[in-house]
Amino acid sequence: MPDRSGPSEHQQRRRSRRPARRWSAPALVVASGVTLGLSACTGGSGAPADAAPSPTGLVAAVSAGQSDCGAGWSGGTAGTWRIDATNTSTGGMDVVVADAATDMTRAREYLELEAIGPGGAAGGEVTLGPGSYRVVCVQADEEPVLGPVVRVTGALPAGTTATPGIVPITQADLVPAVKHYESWVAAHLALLSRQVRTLDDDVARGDLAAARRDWLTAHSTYGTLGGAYDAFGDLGDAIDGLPATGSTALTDHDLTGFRRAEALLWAGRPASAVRPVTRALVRDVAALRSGFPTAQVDPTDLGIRAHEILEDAVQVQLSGAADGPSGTTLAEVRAGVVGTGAPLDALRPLLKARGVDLSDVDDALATLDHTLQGYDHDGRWTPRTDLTTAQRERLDAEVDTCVERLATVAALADPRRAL
Amino acid sequence: MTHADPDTTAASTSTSTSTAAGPAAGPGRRTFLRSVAGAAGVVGLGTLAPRGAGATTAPATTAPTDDAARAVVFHGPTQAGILTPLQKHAAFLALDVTAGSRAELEELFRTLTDRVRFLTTGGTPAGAGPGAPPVDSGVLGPDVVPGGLTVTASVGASLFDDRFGLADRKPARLRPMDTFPDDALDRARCDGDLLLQVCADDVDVVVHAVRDIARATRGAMQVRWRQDGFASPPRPSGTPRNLMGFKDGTANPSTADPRAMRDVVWTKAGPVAAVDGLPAVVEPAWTTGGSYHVVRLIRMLVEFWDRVSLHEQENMIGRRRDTGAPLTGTHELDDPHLERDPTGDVIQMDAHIRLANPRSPGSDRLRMLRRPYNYDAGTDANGNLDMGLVFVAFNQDLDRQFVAVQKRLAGEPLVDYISPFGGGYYFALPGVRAADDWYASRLLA
Repeated sequence: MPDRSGPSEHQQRRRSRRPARRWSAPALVVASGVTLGLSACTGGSGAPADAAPSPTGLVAAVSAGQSDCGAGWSGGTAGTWRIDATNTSTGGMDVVVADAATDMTRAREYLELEAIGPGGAAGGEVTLGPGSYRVVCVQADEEPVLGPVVRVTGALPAGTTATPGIVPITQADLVPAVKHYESWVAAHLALLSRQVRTLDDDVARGDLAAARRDWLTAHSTYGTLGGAYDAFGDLGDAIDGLPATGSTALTDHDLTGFRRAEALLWAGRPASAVRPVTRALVRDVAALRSGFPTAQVDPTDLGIRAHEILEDAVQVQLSGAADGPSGTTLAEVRAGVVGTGAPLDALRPLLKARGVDLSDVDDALATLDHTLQGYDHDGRWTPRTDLTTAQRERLDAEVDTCVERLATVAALADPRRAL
Repeated sequence: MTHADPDTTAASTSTSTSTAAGPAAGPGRRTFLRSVAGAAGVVGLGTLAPRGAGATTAPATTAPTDDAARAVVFHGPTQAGILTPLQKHAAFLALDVTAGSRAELEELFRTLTDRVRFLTTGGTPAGAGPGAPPVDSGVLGPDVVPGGLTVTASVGASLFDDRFGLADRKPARLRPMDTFPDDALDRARCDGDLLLQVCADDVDVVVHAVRDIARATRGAMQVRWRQDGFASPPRPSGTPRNLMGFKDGTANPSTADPRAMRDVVWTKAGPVAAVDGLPAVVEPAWTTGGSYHVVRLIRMLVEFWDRVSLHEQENMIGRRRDTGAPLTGTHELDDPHLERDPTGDVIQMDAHIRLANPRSPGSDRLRMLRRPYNYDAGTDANGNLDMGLVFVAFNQDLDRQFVAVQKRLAGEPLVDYISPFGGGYYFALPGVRAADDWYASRLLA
């Protein structure tokens, strides 16, 4: 059995990117179980001994428990505050500094101190302009506890800007976005399924020139689905796995899917050698399509997918790891741009309603897309390896710009509990 | 023997070297022209004080490293990292600009200025808030320490091509790095639109700065090549040693001597008279306070070098390995007095120090300010050690100084043991003068 640890390790790592704890009850139980014994040692309240003073000397040591949430902070002057929160409860706690809004579900959050164990403390810095704020203490399965309203007065010191606040996006908020994205995926799976049948038909009648063309069409559609980002598990590997370490797609006889078909088609192998591969591809895509409705997209994944499909482009495509004999790596990157747009568009109404300006993200994606289209000569793509140094640097810079900006989308779209 | 001048250290050499052959001819280690006088030459000189012990040149001395709060002043008419005493760690990054317009290029320089101003001053990074990843990598803890950081920004010839309309502002001598006869250049590791020389007391400070700058400028410039370096501490004293085991940089002019720096390091706008066969040129108006910044990546074939006798090594260099003294002297800072050894009885005619600095009338014009780092980059495919020198020199006039010396060194015996593989010619920008100034403000004005 060839070693396929390369790609799957890669995918495993990305799956575990988010701290599982955020508002998630099962993980919370584990966290409190582990840390329970510590509360006796670390005592109740007070700032941790190693808390760093904020540069302007604005420091608050606050309690974060069910009954004393926010005690210890009575507000003060505008500027950069160091907030040290000590969890005085017996369970894990998340502490938020937010606007003191009349409707706390619309309050902006300025500082999150997450997953503080019982008796534990955590601190952070936040620059607050004049206004009314409060500490909110959030435990799983409990209503958020609102701390007292405090006032921050005066103007921010010159040269400082207030920490940008965010209005949380909740799991419930994400439901329509996920539905929107799922229907997009379903439609593209239907398209993919037609396209791999066309590919298989080409091979069946021995028209390998048409097969090479239709291979690219189908592979590009697959690339828009975020399949590289382990959306589809084992079926994803069967459909688009890379050859095992130490082998090529031509020498790895256990390899199936697009990469194997590509190797055979571009090596001039007879249709009879290609057919079993394309037939299996049709079957695997059909299985993926029929299984998709039950394998729903996790709301947490939506923002991550908007960000990380192009992280894959950096690590897998632009690194050359996915270069195949068709020389269409840049077409894969372009498919990733399209695939990024789908979850981004699904999130767009939520972000827009919260005043998030996506124009810099849109500009970066449009610039990259335009550059990539320049390498598409009526279906014949410039091989990645043919790029000049200047072309490669420009492409790298444009993809880098996209992932830097999309990282913010992932952070914003991370589901949070309403306060 | 007698000495009229106690600072004179080589008076006796001519009487003790008569058995040696004349000038060593031709390159290569197999010359066997052993000039054996060195040891005899120092007899009786042991009581002499090192000459000019108090005038050790600044870059030859490594900077103190025990104070993370040590900040090197960022603002000034010239950049830091040139006369600054050598910090222990360095990264050299050559970058190509991917910004698409002159406006974007200006934005790049402004961003770079902001980052470097913050990183060299230190402080607490502003919070990004919950809606974004952290602003800072955290490598230096919650508060960024300056750690003796300097970031010296220089421009390469390719920045002056047709992309940004800067062709008429190119420093007069700037061009892609020449290929010298003994070079084995990989052009992918040469040149670049920009060079950032990042130096600090600790390696984590260098790494943090590189990461911070790269993140802030990702869309506008891309790394073309990178080489990291380190400065050895004095062993046991004096100028730090290179990886051939020899002190390297002894003959540097003193950075404490403003007149020397004016003549050696800083370029001045305006006409440059013809000299040493070079044509007269005019340096553009913005160049005052800048300097031609030469970086050469030179692999040392250290396994081969270690299989060469000490005597042969010292003859190739012209200095003692243990003390750094010229073969005609006793102490590191002794004058080699080449004029008393005109036929190379002691210091071979093709010894490195004689070729590099003949100390003859007019040869003052060849002096440059070297600021070298050692590099250690693991092993090559055959398991041989990949280590050597990041040669760094600042020059008022590229051709009059570095290039002229490099031509003099062509074919020196040392070339068998080194392999220059990369680097470039750059022009260090004038300094960022105040909080409202930025790198290249006058170049782009």
